[in-house]
Amino acid sequence: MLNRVLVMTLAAACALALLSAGCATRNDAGAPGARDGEAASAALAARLDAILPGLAGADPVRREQAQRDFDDLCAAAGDPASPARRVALCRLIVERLSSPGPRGARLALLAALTRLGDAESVAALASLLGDPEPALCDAARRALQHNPSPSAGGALAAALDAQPGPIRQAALVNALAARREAAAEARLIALLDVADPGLRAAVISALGEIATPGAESALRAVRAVDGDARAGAIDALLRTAEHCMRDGALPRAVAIYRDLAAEADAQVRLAALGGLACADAEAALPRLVEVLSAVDEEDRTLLTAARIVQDMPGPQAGEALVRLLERDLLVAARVAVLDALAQRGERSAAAVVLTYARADDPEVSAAALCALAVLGDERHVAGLLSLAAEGDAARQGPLVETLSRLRGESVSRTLLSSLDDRATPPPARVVLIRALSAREYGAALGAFLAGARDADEGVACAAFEALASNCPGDRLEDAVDALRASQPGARAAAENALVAIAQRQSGAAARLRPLVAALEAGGDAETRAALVRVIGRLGGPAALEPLRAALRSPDAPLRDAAVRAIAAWPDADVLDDLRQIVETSAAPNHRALALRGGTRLLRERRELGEARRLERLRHFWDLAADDTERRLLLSALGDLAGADALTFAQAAMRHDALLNESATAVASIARRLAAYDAPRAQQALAELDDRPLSPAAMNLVRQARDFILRHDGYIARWSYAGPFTLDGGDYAAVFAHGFPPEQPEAGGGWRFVGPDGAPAGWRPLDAAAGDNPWQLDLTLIDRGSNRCIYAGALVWSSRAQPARLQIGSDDGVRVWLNGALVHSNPPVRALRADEDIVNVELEGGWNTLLLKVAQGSGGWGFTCGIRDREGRPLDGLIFGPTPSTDALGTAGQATGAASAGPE
Amino acid sequence: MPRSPVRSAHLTRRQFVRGAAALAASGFAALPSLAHARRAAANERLTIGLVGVGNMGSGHLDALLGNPDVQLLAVCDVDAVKRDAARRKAEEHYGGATRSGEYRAVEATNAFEDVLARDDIDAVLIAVPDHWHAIIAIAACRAGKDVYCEKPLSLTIRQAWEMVAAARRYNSVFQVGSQQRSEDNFRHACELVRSGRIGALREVRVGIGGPSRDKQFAEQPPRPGLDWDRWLGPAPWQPYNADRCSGDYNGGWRHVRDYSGGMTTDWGAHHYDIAQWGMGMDGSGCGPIEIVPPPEMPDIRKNPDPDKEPVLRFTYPTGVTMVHGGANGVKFIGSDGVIEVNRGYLKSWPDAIAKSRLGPDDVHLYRSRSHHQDWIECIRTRRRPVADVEIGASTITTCHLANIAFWTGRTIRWDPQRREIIDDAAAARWLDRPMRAPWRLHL
Repeated sequence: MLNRVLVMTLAAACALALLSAGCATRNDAGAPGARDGEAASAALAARLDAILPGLAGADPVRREQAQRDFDDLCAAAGDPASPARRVALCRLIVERLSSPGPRGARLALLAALTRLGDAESVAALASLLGDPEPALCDAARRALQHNPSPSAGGALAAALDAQPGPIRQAALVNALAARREAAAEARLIALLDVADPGLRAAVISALGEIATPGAESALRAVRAVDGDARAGAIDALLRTAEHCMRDGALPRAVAIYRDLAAEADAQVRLAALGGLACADAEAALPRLVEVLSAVDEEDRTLLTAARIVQDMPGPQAGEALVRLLERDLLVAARVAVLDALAQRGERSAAAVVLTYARADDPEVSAAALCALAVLGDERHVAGLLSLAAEGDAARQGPLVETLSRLRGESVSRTLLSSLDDRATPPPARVVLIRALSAREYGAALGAFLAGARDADEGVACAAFEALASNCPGDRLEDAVDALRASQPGARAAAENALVAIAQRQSGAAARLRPLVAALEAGGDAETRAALVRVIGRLGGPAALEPLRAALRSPDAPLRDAAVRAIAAWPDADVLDDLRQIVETSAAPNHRALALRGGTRLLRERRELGEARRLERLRHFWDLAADDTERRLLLSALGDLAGADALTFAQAAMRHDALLNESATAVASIARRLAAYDAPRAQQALAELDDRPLSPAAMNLVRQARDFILRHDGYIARWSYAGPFTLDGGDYAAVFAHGFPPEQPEAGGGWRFVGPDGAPAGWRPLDAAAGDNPWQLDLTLIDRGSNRCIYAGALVWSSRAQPARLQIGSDDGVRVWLNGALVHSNPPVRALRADEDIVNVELEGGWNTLLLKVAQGSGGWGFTCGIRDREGRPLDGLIFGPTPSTDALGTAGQATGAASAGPE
Repeated sequence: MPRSPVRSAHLTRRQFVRGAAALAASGFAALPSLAHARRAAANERLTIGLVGVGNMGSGHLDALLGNPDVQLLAVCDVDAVKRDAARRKAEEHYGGATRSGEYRAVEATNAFEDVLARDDIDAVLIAVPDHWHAIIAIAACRAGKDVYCEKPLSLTIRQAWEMVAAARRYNSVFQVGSQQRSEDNFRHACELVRSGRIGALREVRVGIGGPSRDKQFAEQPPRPGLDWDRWLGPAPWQPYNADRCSGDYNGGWRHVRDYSGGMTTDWGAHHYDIAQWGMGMDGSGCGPIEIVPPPEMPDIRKNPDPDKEPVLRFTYPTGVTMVHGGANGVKFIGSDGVIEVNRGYLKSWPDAIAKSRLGPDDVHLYRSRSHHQDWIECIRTRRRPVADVEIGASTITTCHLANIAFWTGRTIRWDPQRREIIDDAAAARWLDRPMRAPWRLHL
């Protein structure tokens, strides 16, 4: 830890005390307050010399601590309140550099001079420019480059003549460029004739930074000659112009830009015009207008030119854009100009822009409307509405968008007033409703409810959509009344609205009451069927009663709506209802719907458990009327994983018409079953070899077999404990911390006890990732961050033998085998199977395997397999049954500083 | 010796014929982008070179391959194993197009100059370590490419603004990978703040870790296939070590000062960016004017608690204070309420603020639905994207100023207009770092 030392004694004894304490300080007051400058310097020297050996050491840990101490020393020396300390430290560093020493230490000293050195350091650094060690030579060059003293530039320039070879010369040139050393102009220009292309390129680039008139002339000369260097010269001239503008040499900048604006290359022309727009807007604008008016320009050029004008300050640019609109422009140009006006916020152009909203070209029309959304106000509402009244469907969306964005409270009032005006034609009314809805204008609710009853279907639909977004839940009854009075063509929109409005009511009773009341109040069957559909979509236990009542209705539309609602139900509460429909319904489509619904639920609702899902599936199977229905059920059967399901699928293969679907189910089940009973699964697949399966089914069988083989030796059955977190602890802390499952216990094994002796809880890990039982998805257990889970497994080996673990994890992992840590890999990473290979020695008999899988954030999981040292399956391995909590200790939570996460 | 990149030819009118329509469409959030209406024909797809296929680059690779509007033509990485794997993946993906005759081979190269020299590549996506960003991005702009550059934008403040200058000079569409600007939560939070829903903004807390440091590693034999000299590039020479160049967030180059600014920049490029967006303090000329560090430098991974310990504090010209630490993401504290926002998380006190809707007269910020797609659309329309390079430079400047304060241990006074540190020459040296030969900013 670093401590702030406020006062430092002057005596050498105090300096020794500091050394012996080994403490480095940030911003400690070495000089201020010191009565004796020499003593302070001596103390500084002593500190430096104490640090230097560490910088040169072989041990990176010690080197890093020395570096930190050195950083603190340098930081303190840089304090502007103590300039003498900086000078003193730099002189000391220079002295140390004058003697040979380890490279690492010398590089650190040179880095310090890069940050601190000034005139006192120049000579020493210059002498190192010729060092034969490239790293040192370049470090000295960088230190001079960054040195504020004018003499540093002179030293670099002088070294140009002395440096051997173009590579070191180029480095010096780069340094002179970074310093913008005008005094080096002549030397640099002289190097333009060198043969080495890299050095030449560096010189050209440097001249662009130096930006003197002489450098500029030299660059123009290079540009005049066609060749590889021309592009570099143009780039350098552009930078020269920018420097000129910053340095106040505006006429030179303008001249460069004018010159380059004549280049054939469009990119260069535009770069020059962009620069000219900043340097001399009056000169640039006509040229940009010319580009935008051209009939043969690339679209990219047009768009870029428009952007340049867009960014030009002053009213002239906006005026020029407006005048441009009057010209005969390419579509891309016109669109770009309209957008540029919007981006500039040229509100005065709104009326002109509005005229282009009527353009025949849809791109132009859309661009104008888009611009008007930014530029327009209530004065433009009438014009937009007249456009809406034309009923052009393609314009409707953009019109709505524009009207919804116009600023000002008065706009909403104007829109509502127009909506209330019965003379407004339906297409415009639709636009008005949508715009008012987007504006969330509360005062329009009455108009929406009225519009829902409109004879025009489009208006009614728009009104219901607006109600869906804006109607509060306590107005549900009004919305139900609107449904009852609505046109059939608006019914779907009405239902959507009722669902949305009802969901704003808190409590199932409040949501359903108006709907059930309306249902019971009678009325035409289609309206009541709509109510049934709404009730079905709202869902929840309270909705089932009216739906079941509707199943018994004498009205066919209600029965149909009820069947569809129940068939789409999200949870398994309706399985009996669906079975009854299949059993008793005379309507073939209702049977089909109910069967599909039941099949879907059996596939999705894994929490029912394997046995119940299979039992329910058998019920449906017994009711199946034909092979089409049986095939549907077989597809759900394939989602199961148990031996009984496998037997069922195999039995279904006796029916020739179901052979392929049954085989597919067998293959799918076998993939999962293999994790727990590999011989059974493999036997089932083998029995398919002689069957006349379709190519697709054969392929699935082959894939299943390959999948199982690939996972031979992988562990699917785990127990887990956790998740564990640390208060305030981040990922690294969690990874490093030893939570209770890691605590060694007498007798080995992986049963563990908590710190107070209470057994900790281990549970079966039921977290297969999709249909891969060997890949565990721990986010199914917990979705938090910065935590870990421990997973344990038992592995029986017929003999002691060498093996290897093949592990993939997200994120880091630690592994213990029989209580010994065999692997630790902390990175935050995605899960890639077999990313970590760990050689281990299995004991004969039971082996305990414990994994700690840490979680940063996002995905979290692991895979683990055991193979021989060459990655081949091992003989004689048995993976133990999933240990229950009884086997490992009673369930409980780990206590102490480490806290387990939620169960 | 670095090679001089050659400018690319321009895209044809045909390739931009959809640009105007996209321009019109892109102005409205509600309208579907025409770019997604169908898979673009081969000659209308944006062609891209991907530079860097490590942790972030491989994620971008997947996204680019899955985007029907683009065609990946080249991958570049100094690690042969990674680049060859990336090329194989790309060619397997495009292999399906062979039958249609649209298949084009994907080049794999060690040198970004090769990518930039190709006339048939329109744009580059840069996902290399921070110390390389400026050189490649500036060269790409000069070569006529549009640029997507991962955050943090740069290693130094000067490099960031040189990148802005290059993008403006060559009119490049330049997106910085601060992709939180394309996530609804963050935009909405900033709109609420700027629309005054929490009253007068007083303080912003930003939950990120701390700065990088100089780190030391034992020398190891270089990994086969890795061009270590080029990996180092402009950074000072150091012997190879696997941890030094690892992309692992738990260690690796992000924690090493020669290559990155640590979590201050890595996460600051996200959360300081959002904080400044919410403050209305993003862009050229904006930024803090004073940065006061705590007495001790924080650990790189720590999110300090300002209510319990001293933390770094920024002061803005508006009087708003921004504080390092104490938030799950970004927390805006106003006179009438608080908003806290992070990925997948938006909460307010009182609750009603977060649920409130914005009307036409409220502040509406740039709406981008997808950071990649926004960049692609802006390439067609030539608009500035949601995380334009100037915004990225403003953000990373704030991040670097924090680090300078951490590293010097002194209060830093900053002039955002002139981009100068006031009255501290030693601190000002951190505004830039000399590059190792033969590298320089302008190749």
